[in-house]
Amino acid sequence: MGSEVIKQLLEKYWQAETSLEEERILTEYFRGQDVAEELESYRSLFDWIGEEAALTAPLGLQERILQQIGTSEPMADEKERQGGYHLNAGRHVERRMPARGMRYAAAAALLLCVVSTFLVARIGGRTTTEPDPGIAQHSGIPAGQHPAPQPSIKDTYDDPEKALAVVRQALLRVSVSMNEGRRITQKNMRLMDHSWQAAVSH
Amino acid sequence: MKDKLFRFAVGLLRNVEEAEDAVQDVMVNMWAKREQWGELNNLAAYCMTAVRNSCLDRLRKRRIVSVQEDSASGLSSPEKNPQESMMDKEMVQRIRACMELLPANQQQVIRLREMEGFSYNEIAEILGLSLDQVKVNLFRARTTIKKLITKEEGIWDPK
Repeated sequence: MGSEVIKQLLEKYWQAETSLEEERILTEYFRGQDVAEELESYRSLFDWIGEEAALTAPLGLQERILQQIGTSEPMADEKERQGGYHLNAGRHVERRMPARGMRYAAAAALLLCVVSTFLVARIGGRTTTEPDPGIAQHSGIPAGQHPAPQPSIKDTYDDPEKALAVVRQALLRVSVSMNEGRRITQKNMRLMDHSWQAAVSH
Repeated sequence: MKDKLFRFAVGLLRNVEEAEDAVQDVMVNMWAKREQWGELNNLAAYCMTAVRNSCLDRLRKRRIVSVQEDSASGLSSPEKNPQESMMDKEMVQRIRACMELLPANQQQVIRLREMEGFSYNEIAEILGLSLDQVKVNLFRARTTIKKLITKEEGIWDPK
């Protein structure tokens, strides 16, 4: 880039009117080999900026931060410890996210159990009435000739379509709950993954 | 990100250990508030503001301790002569020394802009200044550095 352009950019720079992109152009120019002689002394300004910007946090800092937030476990393996801080930060996120997802999965599983128990209780409640001799008498089957009680939906609902509808509704509720849990988990995972990677890493 | 926070903290505190502590406090605190990250417009700017606040707290405490120590020992803190601190050093070191003599706002603005590449709006948010104040502080800081360079080197300066 010609020195005239650089001079113009420098003027804008001193006036604090340059964009970040223009400042990047200036930085690249003054860190290059083709700095015009008359501008050579301004190189020290960009050298200073470069030196200051190269300062990094001590290596132990990130480890201390991760330990303090209770994630020293993933770093127990010495080989993994040598694998770099980015890796550990990533592992850290990966380890915590499933734990969070598990909460929703557990909630969904619990819901499934509750719904199943509820259904079985209803079905069981109805099937226990089946050996009622009154019903047997009413159905015309002689006493003592009942088939073995079989707790099935057939015995609970007269109309198989109604039974199917009830089962479908129950499963749909469980499915919606699980999907909701998964949606929330995925949303949080994405958010936290991006944010924490950005925050902990460079 | 932690490097940005660390550099900013070092610039404010001039002490590596204290800067590390400040960054650690802020990041641990940020992790505890991770549920709220989605509500933040700019996580990086928010963290920088938190580090700045933490550093200012530490500086205040340090000042209290310093006053107590001074009154106990009867010694005043030695002030460096700006001229002396700049003598016999390379230009980069002169710029660095010059920076340390700038008002706090100018130092912070120029660091956030030059070293960390934040936009004017982000700097305003981090430091709690208006956009105009950010530009004025940046203008003054750069002008001081420019004068230092042109005065020392007698180089091209259209002004």
